[in-house]
Amino acid sequence: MSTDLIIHTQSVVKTYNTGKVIVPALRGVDLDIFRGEMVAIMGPSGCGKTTLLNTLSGLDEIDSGLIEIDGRNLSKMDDKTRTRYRAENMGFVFQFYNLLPVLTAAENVEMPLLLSEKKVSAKEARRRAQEALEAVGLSTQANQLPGELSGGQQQRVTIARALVNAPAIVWADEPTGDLDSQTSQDIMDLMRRLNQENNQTFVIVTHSPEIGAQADRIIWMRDGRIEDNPAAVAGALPADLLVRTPLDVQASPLKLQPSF
Amino acid sequence: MNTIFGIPANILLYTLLALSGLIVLGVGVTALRFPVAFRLGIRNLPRRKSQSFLIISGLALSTLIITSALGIGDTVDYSVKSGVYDNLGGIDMQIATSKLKAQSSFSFGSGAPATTAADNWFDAGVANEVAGQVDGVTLDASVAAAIQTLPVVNSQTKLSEAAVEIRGLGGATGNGLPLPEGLNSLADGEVLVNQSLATALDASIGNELMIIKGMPQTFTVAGIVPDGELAGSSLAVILPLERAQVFFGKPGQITAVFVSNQGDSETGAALSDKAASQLEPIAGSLVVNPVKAEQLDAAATSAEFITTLFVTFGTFSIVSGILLIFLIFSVLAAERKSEMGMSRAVGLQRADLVRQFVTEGLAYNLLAAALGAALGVGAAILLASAIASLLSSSTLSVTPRVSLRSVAIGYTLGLVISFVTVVFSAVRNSRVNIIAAIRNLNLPVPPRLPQWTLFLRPFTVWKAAVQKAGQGNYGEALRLFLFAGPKAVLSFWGGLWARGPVLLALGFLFAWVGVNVAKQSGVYGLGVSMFLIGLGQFFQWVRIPSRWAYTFTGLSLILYWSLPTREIGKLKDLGNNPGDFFISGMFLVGGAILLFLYNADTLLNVFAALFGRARSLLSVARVSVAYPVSAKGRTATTLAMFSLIIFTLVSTATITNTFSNFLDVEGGSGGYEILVQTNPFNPVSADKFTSGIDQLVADGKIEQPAALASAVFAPVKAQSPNMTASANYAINGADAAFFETNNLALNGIAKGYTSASEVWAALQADPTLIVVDGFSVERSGDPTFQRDESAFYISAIRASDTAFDPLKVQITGKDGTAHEFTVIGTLGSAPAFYGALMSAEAAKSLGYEGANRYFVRLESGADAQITANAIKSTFSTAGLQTSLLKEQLEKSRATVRSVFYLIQGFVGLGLLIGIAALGVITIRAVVERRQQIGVLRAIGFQRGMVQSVFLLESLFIAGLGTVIGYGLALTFAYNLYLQVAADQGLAFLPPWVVLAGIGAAIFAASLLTAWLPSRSTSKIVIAEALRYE
Repeated sequence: MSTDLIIHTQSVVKTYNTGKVIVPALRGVDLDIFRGEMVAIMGPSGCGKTTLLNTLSGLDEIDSGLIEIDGRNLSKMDDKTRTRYRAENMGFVFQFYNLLPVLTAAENVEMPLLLSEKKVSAKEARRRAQEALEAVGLSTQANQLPGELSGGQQQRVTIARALVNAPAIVWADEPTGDLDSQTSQDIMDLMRRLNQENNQTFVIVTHSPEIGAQADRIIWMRDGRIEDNPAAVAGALPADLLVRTPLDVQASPLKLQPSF
Repeated sequence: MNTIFGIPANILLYTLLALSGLIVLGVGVTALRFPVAFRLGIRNLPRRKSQSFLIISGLALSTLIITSALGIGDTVDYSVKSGVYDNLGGIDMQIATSKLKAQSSFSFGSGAPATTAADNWFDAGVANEVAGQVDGVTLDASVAAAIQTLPVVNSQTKLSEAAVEIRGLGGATGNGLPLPEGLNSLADGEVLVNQSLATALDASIGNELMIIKGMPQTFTVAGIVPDGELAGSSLAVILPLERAQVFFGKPGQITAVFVSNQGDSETGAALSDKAASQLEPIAGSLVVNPVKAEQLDAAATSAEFITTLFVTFGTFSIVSGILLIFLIFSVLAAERKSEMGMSRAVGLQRADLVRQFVTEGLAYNLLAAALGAALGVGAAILLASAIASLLSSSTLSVTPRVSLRSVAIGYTLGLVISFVTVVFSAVRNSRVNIIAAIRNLNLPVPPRLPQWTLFLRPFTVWKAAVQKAGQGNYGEALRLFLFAGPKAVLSFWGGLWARGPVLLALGFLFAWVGVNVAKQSGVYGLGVSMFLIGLGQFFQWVRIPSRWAYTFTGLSLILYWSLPTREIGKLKDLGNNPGDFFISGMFLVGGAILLFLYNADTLLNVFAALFGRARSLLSVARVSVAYPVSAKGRTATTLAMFSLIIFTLVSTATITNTFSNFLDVEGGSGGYEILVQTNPFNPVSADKFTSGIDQLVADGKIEQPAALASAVFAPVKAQSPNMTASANYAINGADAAFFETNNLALNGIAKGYTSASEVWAALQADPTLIVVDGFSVERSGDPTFQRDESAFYISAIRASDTAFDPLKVQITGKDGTAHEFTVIGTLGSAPAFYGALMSAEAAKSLGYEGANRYFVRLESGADAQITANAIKSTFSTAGLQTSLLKEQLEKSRATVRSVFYLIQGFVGLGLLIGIAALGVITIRAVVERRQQIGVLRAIGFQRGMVQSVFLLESLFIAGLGTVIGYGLALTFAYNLYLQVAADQGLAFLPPWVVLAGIGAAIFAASLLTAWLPSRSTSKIVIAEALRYE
């Protein structure tokens, strides 16, 4: 982990207007994340975790504020540039895997390479996809369709897809939300290993204290803001989460503050 | 029309009305008994208005096609019948020397020209006896008539007509046939003219008309009477019978007795049989012709033929429409999968889901059938008007008309077809696993039970029933015996059906019946196809991989229906009917779809390999092809729709373009531009004709003809070995010049002769040899041909025989003695040369000499119309009639082509179904894949790329459907060409420009249909799409 700033936001505001109601999702978020960090974003439902991830990754627009990724102002990019930037610098892992069900594992994984500006040939793309699948332990399932794989295997394919392009940042939205505890742990181990080996930044949105506990740092959110005091957030967390929350994890924001 | 699809129209209507009533009643009862399911169904309608509109439009297409096909038939029926009532008025029966041919004025099929007896005069005493039968019960009037055709010239306007009926009418007995007004008060030398003749000659009262019969005789026009009834519907001069008999030199003789049956002009024909049985004893050797009834029958036949033609071609669209309904409801079910799962979870029964779908479906159907029927009426009027403008003749006024009955049949048939499809879809869609539906999972289909288990199951059930009975549990025993037992038996048979043996047996049975009982190639082909499908199922049962089993079935279906395998041995003699076209199209397309279904992954790999070189395209191409390949059922349904319609369009266009050359202008006209026919009362000898032509050339009025030939034409009686008595026929005794210059095409040549020129030389040299026309030989299997049962025909020679054994026939001479002739050739389609073609010497041996027909061939560039007018004018007093042979054939060909263009247009309506299907699946795909669109955008697909995925996907389906449709249609058409036309020197002529136009239109429409919904993908917010489930 370095002290090199890769994500920097200032007063990010995002509001959803459904026509009848206006819902403020982000109310001025200031945030810094460093290269190679594995950060967990936690907070109660509706606090703006996923919205934050979406806006940071350029999947969604912001109303005001500043988002800089690796020094580039994301909110100033047009859609085309932002899409290209995303393809080359970011990887995504979603809760429900979100693989393309009609493509095989290898085809899903090689897709970002084919979209990249880096002139990777189809043959080279397939070779690298195969390598990525090998890295996640799925080399023998390369030609299987997602429907033929288990949930854990599908999530590994998603991780392989997210990493195949060697992106600087990997965004993961509830990556273990649909998995049993053992598979969740396997996935987390895999992400941690890749994070350490490649010095890639992982930003993980999760409800799970166990997952959060394994991150370098937890960013707590409440009502669309970053909450410096996790105890305040804990008050807003559902009872069942609190019951399952180990004490050391509640204290983790302090314990796991990066040393920069 | 009395029948539709061979079923009496009224029975069809009442059945459909009853079925529709039951459907509405059934759904009504459901609404009362199960209000929740009913409400859920109805409330789905306004949920997505644009989707509802698309569904209703798609569903309406079948009704539109049915209604418009029936409407065209109605128009033909009404127009021809109106013409018959207007022309004949009160005349129901006509006694004459021969059978009168009732030919519909709305026919464009081939048919032999009407035949006439050699002498049509008979004793007027018959008329008196008929008059004695006028009883006011069956017969209400009779009129004797003497009618002959002669040239007439208006001395004042100098206008002339070569063929005018001179109608001598006797006094009427009874009240049913009023004589033309003023007839009885005509002074000597005065005549009446009907409106048609007055118009043609620009004649008015007081004008002098010269009627030319040898020497011209002058008559004064004393009155102009309306056309129709006794005044005739063609050009006519009318005068009292006695004066006509004197004029014709036939005192005491007549040519017809007109009889009116009791009732008015429309109801009288119903008494025709009764009237005929009353008149036949009086008529003796004369023929009692129920003219009106026969002409009305001919009108109905024409209407039924044209309806059959449109329905046959429309059937493909109707099937496509059914597939569209099925697709729409499958898509609706897929869309509501999780909703259905939830409904089941909270307590709705499976039957409630069926009710919900059926209610919704019926609501769509009721609206769609109304829309389809209304549009169908409009389409029918448009198409009928177009046909009218193509086929209209002076004797027929076409009035577009669609009967309420047809609209009701179209509406109810559309409703019933849609409803049955909806019920089928609903039952299928209601089979949801609750969890799988809620979580949108695809669970594997459980394997089918072994057949042995299915075989044993009924016995197990019955055994259990006996045990229950033994235990005193009679209720359970009865339930097992009455319900579980039969269900187990059905499962056993269902297993056999799915595994092949049932289809194998049925296929064998159909094939056997097709060859030995029905003798129909369609039935045989149906059997073969069922057998091949059964074989595929059977292969799968014995663990041959399904890919191989069904690839075999698909390929063999395509091979069977596209190669000329049906020309082997006994199969050659099987009959055909228009429905065979439908059967072959269905199985060809079915075979291709099977190939696609079981080899889709290979297709995907081929595409990936093709685009693999272009990296930038690979990602878009791969996704766009992968989706349709993965949704096999949906893609196969859409492909089937597209392929069926394209198959129909392309094969119709190719077949008609190739076969329209059947009307071989050069071969059918003999290479002569003009046929000149003399009037029997004013003969023009060959010398006189030739000198007249020479004079015209000398005066510079016409160019020197390239060839002149002559023939004596005479009606005769003739008999072939297959006939029990002689029948009406004709001879053409041609001169040497004819045999040296004619270019007539010979369909068949007798063994021993090798070429047409050898046949013509033999005819010229041997007066016992003849060539017969193509209408008098066996033409079974030609649906466009209607044989006149009373005419001469040879069953031993088929129209398609290019070589045959010489056949002896008898022709009766003028003196009544039979002469034997040998048939050594058959003509192609050459209506002007109807009869036995023989040398002038042969005709002389029969007692006929003196040319009465002349054939003129012009140098290229010479104007046939100017030449014909000059000849008519030179011989105006002889009343020569000229016909432009080549021009008439060219017009006929153009007319046939135009009608087929209209049919293509009609079939093209079906393309709307295919396009609508593409629209349905693209709209659905955009909604269904919202989340995946989010993923694509997240990992780097630009907006345009996502849009391209949808466009390419539609183009992939349209392209594949086009390739299948074009490939199969061209193969099918080529096969048909090889079987029927190749050996007649015709070229295979696909209309490439038209075909390219159809292809371009399909692609443009497909692109547009996909483009509209695909635009919405660019508006999708990625973050929102990713949350979408």
